[in-house]
Amino acid sequence: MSAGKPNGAAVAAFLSAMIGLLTMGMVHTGTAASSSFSAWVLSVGKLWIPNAQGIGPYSGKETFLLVGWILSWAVLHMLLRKREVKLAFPVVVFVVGMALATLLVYTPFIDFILGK
Amino acid sequence: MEKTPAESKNEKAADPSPLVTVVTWGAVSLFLLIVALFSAPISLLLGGSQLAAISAAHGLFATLGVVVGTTTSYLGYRLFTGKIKAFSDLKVLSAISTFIAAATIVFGNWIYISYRAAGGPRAFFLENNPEIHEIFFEFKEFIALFPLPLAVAATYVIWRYGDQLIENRALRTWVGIVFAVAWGGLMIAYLLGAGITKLRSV
Repeated sequence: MSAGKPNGAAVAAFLSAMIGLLTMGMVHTGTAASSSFSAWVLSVGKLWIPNAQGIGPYSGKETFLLVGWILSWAVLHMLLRKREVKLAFPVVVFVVGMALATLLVYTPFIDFILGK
Repeated sequence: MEKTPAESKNEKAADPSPLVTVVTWGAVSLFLLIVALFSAPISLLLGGSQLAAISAAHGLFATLGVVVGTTTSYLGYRLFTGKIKAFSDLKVLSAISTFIAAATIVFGNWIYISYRAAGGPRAFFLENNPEIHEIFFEFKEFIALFPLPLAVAATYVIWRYGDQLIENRALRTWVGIVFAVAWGGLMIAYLLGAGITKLRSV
């Protein structure tokens, strides 16, 4: 946005949303692969979500979504907020990342990559 | 032809302002709601479940989310094509959509406890038709989270850049993509949620 605010802050906002969702997808796939990892993810959720035991490891997966999203937003915002970025590459990264995030919460795909 | 001060005054007196209209509509709706709450057996409508009110709130927010989210996404599409005329509406609606997405998730988490409880819908599906839980519900519970970060990001970008966004084709295209993805997640979650609830509710 040459005449106004640089577009870096927008790139940071969109990419961080994708990173948070992708983190959640990877953690979910990890819990499907390992029951001990699943128990650890639940313990992370229990740290702050009321009644986390009731919703199981889902609480930890939501936590990883939030942490991945907010942390990456903070870092990317600091790095990019004053920069004018060419959008073609980040848009492709965003779309591919969103597609992967979607596949990683789809059970038949998870079973496929885990060889189940 | 220029209006005389008397004509302008008459016009003002004849037409209620949008604020008066909205306040009147709100007051009448509130009155009718209070009458209904005190006179109709609402508890029968909600059902006998322990979390009946929470389930109702989840369903209400989810439905509101579809209505508001669809309207917002349409405006996002208009932004995408560069033909938006109601940019200020998009700003307000994107913020409201974000709030609704968050509220739907909070209430969804709450009733998820009942879904997973012993003898709940999860146990029923795993015993009778495991694919319903393992494929449809599992996907629904995660895809329902997608709209929140996307809506927050889109709302942030719309408010940060304001009218500049309309002139920036590349960035407004990305905003349009984000709205489309968020709307897709919203609709999948809503339809799967409705279908699963129809099969076995909490």
